[in-house]
Amino acid sequence: MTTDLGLTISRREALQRSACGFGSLALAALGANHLPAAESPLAAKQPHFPARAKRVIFLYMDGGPSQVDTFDYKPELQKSNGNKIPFEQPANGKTGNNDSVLFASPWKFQQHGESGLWISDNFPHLAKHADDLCLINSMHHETAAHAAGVMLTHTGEFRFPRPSIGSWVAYGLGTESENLPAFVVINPGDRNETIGAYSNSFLPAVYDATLMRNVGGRDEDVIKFLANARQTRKQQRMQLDLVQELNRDFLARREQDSNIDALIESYERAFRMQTAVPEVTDISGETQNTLDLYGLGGKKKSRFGMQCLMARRLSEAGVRFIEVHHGGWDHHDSLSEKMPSSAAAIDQPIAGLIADLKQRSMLDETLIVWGGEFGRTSAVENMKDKSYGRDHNGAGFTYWLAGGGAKGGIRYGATDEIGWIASENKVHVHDLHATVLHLLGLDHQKLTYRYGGRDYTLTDVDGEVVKDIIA
Amino acid sequence: MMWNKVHVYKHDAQASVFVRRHTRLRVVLVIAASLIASRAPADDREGIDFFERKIRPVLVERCYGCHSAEAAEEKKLKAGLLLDTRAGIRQGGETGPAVVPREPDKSELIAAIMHESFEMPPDGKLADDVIADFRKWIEMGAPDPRDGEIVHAEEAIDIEGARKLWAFQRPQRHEPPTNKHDAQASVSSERTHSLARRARIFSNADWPRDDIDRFVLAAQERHGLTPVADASPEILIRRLYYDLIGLPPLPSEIDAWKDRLTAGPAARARSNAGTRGPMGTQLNEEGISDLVDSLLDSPHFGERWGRHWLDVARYSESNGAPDKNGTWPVAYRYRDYVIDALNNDTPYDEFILEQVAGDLLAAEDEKKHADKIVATGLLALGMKTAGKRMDEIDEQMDTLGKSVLGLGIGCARCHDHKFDPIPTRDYYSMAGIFFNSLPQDGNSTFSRARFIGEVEKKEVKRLKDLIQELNGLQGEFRKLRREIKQIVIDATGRYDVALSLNDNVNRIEGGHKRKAEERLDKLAKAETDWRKRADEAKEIEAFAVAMKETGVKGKMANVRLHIRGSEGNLGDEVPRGLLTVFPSAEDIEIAEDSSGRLELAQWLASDENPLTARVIVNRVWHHLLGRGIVPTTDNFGATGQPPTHPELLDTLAVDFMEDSWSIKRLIRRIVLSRTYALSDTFDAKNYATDPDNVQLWRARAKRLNAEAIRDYILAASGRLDREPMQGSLVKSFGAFRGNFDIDDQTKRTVYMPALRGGTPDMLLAFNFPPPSLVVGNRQSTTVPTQALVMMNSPWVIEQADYIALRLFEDAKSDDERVSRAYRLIFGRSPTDTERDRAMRFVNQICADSEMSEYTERDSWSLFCQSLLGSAEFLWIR
Repeated sequence: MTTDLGLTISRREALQRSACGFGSLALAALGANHLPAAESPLAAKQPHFPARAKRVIFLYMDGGPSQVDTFDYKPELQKSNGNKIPFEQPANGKTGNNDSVLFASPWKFQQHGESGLWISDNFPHLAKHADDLCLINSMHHETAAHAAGVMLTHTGEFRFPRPSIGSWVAYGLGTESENLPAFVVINPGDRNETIGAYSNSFLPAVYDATLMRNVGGRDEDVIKFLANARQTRKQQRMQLDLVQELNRDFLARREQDSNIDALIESYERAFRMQTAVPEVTDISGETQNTLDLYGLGGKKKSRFGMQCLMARRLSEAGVRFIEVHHGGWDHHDSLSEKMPSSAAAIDQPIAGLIADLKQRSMLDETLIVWGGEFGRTSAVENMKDKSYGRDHNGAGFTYWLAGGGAKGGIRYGATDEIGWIASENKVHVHDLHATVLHLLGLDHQKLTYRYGGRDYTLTDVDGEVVKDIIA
Repeated sequence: MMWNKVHVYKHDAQASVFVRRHTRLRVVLVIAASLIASRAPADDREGIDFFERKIRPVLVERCYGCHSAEAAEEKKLKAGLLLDTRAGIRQGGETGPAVVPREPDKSELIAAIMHESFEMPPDGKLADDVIADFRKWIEMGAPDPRDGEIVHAEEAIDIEGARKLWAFQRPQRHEPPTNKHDAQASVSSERTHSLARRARIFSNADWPRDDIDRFVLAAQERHGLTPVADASPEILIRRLYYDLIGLPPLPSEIDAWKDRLTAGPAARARSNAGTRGPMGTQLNEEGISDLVDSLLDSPHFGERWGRHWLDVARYSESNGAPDKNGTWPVAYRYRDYVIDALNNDTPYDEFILEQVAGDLLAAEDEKKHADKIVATGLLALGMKTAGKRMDEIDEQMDTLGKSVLGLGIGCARCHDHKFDPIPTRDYYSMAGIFFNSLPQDGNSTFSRARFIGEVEKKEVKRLKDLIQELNGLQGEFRKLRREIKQIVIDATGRYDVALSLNDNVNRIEGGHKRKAEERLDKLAKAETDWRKRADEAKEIEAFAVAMKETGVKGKMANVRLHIRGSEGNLGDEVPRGLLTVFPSAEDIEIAEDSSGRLELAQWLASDENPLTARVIVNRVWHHLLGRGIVPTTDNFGATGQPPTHPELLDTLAVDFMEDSWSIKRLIRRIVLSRTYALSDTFDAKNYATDPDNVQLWRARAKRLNAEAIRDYILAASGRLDREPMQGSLVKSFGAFRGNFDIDDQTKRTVYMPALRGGTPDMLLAFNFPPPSLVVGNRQSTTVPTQALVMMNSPWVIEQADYIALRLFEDAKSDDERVSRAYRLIFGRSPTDTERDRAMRFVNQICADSEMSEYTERDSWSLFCQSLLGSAEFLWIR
């Protein structure tokens, strides 16, 4: 809409300026300790079209898990152990050794569920949910470098800093929680944090990731500055009352000032967060059955299990985009030892997460995305010292989706015969991003933000929704 | 909107009208395909989108070379077939229509690309999925925007047309609007009744203090707005301190300036011109002017305003390279250069000249030349990502475009800029300039960084000797390694590259082994020597993160057009040059032996450049008034917002250039206006018309920026160390970014490490800009994470403790303590109500049994912390 001055203002601003004015509205709402949800930039927003998923849980496998030892069954590779590589190694995924040879997966694959999906024996628990999994075997992008891969998979770009997919989703949909942020990362990867994989970049700071650290680890604050060492809650409330009194004085002097309204509201939300976050992290109310699902029932507690349980609890609380980080997938050597240990760390927790969401009827509305920055070569690395492993490979790798409107029990796209290069129904990372947004009811071409004179999108000028994997 | 999905290619027939002038190609622009698309009905939009994404790029890349108007012009047209217009593609060539809508089998194009009739394109068959796309497109009816029906026409905007945008025309000085009252008075003097009526209408006759006010008031009156009352002296003093030096006034300074501003013979003598405050206070203009001058003279001025420039220079002390994020321990020299330049009031044209081509400028002595080299940090301090040369150049051009010209140039990398008249050709022509210089990281003796001569002569000599010795040692390393390898090969037949030198030696035995080990020892010794000398050299070396002109293989090179920005698809070589949309750039010839960087710098820093002065004047206005005359401070192009006061902006820009591009005097002019000195009083009538205060009818409150929050808190706690920092903490970090916090630091925030991905939590929460982006207009959000910082951060709590300590040291009674706290934190005395409230709070805390372990001072600390977290502290009115 347009004012007398020819300025375009948003509907929300117009509302704020309606009859009684926003200032008085805010004052009236203070009694209830919070403003109407519509006033916060984090308020839940309508998607572009009806959504299949309300939220995303992104299980990020940092380091780049091998596809041919997990979810991309390649009988031809199994028969070709020790053979020469049948083609020139692609620039975006090669071992760096011309005399390297093919390396069959040391693990057996079996078919599971009614769908008969092939899954390696590394994932006995997850295999029970084969019919929920939507394997995308034909993922690809341009790089074989960790940081670039991390940036591509998070922001769709690696040359320039851009907003993370979680920030885009937060910007597009807000949060359903009045007390918690929209985008949370559980135990962020140090490097990923530093390079800006979780950053709002040019989007408003309110869409930046809130980082929860030490979940399932040492007993420390999971969110920065969440707790006050010297005050009880009652004392802090007294202090906050004083702060808000001062703020209202200031507002009264200036009358109309939405900044001060926002300041008042920000203190109240922060105060609520101080209780809401410990409530989310307090799992004492979880049943033994539930804990067992995640591998948290016994003496030895799975750290990743705790992260997955936290993801479910944040989902229930209305958080929009939850990224769960798991490192250690960079299996350059000793694949035969490292893969089983990495897989075991996530297998039961993820199976537990799927089962738990299902039993709470939340799987349909929660999209789980599993994958890392790339996959790995079908040829061996570190032949010389016989500590066989696999090198980085952006030319072909696997992601899988579950729930949230993704088709269960299917295998979409394919790599070549030996599992190296995506070749059939190729899905670029931009396509994956477009599809994730689509399932959330967002059109990736319409979710734009103007920065520096240009409308930016998560997918830039690329990206196509992979319609065939939508249930 | 689908515009961002659409590429526009200049090769389309109607658009590729090339005008030759001065032997330079001047490219005619195509209107944005977005406009075309947005006019098309919804159904067509999808089809056109498909065409734009799937079909047009292939046509451009694979077909236009022989089948376009451009090909025809270059006498390369084949088979009389033009594929670059809808008319052309439907009419076809010598063998009939290339495309028959909905009839792929009757379309010659399909037969040709399937290699059934012809084998097209001749350089290799298209991929199957591309062929399928063409088939699908024809089945869809071959939607094609390159035509007169769906498209209104590919309206070609020539450069002449584009130049008509206000921003591309040179600013002119405008006569300030004559005060309507005065103007009418002379006319109406014969008709006194009319005068009376007009006098009522123009009741603000005495309001303007200077020309700025006249422009502003005239605009306000056009909108039926009236300026509110002037700010009180306390508020004006606090505002000026924040805006000019970014520090709070000391309580004693407030008292002294308040006296100067409110009294004095000058105020009485010039009562007509005097400013009436809200309570009828008369402010002494000379007093204000003295205050402004003293702040402009303060060394803290450069710290405040230098940081504004560092925001647009995306200043950082680490390279942001994804895997390593290497530190730049000498990057701080650029920071100091900027701060000094602002403090010395270096003319802005010179400032720009130095930052773009300082290394190429003559200087009186080595020290001055060193400063000029450091200045080129503007170009060198960008983020280093995947390391592709064009990415680096793109980053440099984008930074320069946004910071100096307020223009996004980067889009033209892949296609003619859709909104601003920057053809891709211009982009690569300018890229050629940068191609001949390399950014230096200044990190080591062997880095390509140019030596900065700010060391003593004898040290220079020692350093040169050291470098020679180091080079010699490196030669020795190479020799020894070669010899050892040979010994290994002699002994075993092969050298295993996967193993270390030592391990290779371990594989062999006997005499060979002894010989090899002897050399290994020598190598180890040489390495120790090298390390010692390198450390010594580091002590005295003086490098900067700066630019060095290198040329390519001994001469200045051009770059080739990258079609769609792709390195794998190179077009013609483009002669180095500037942007054709600027007439002032057109006649600049770049000599064969010049990279063009100096020419670029001179052109940017010239009176003829229509943008340079406007952009900086607008930045200054933005920082002082809280909103730019052009609100999009980094974008003056067609997609930016237009100026709210164009005549004022232009007049300020012209005055600025004529006044030797002096930033300090520009600031002085603006802050001495009455417009700047308004109060922030609310006015319902004005608000109803102009809620965003576009017309400046009241002062815009500003939230303290991230640095100021820290600096103001440190000032209140008495912990602030106001001396500049020598060097940077980054020097102690080692080669890569380490974890650090600044909780125990007490220097001003501008001196704290600025690392990519390493902004301290507190600064990050308060919108410190990402050091990889050009940010002329910081975000100022208000979010819960900030509240958590103010409530719970151990640093804030500690500072509150320090303030409480001061209250107990300086003040004897509770009453005095409340006053002292208010003066330290808010810069004013409390009212009686506020005193009562403060005592109520302190007593309440003391009385609470849960807080029995609290000392009295703890309760005062909580009180001070509350003041720090409140709006009055965080906002400057």
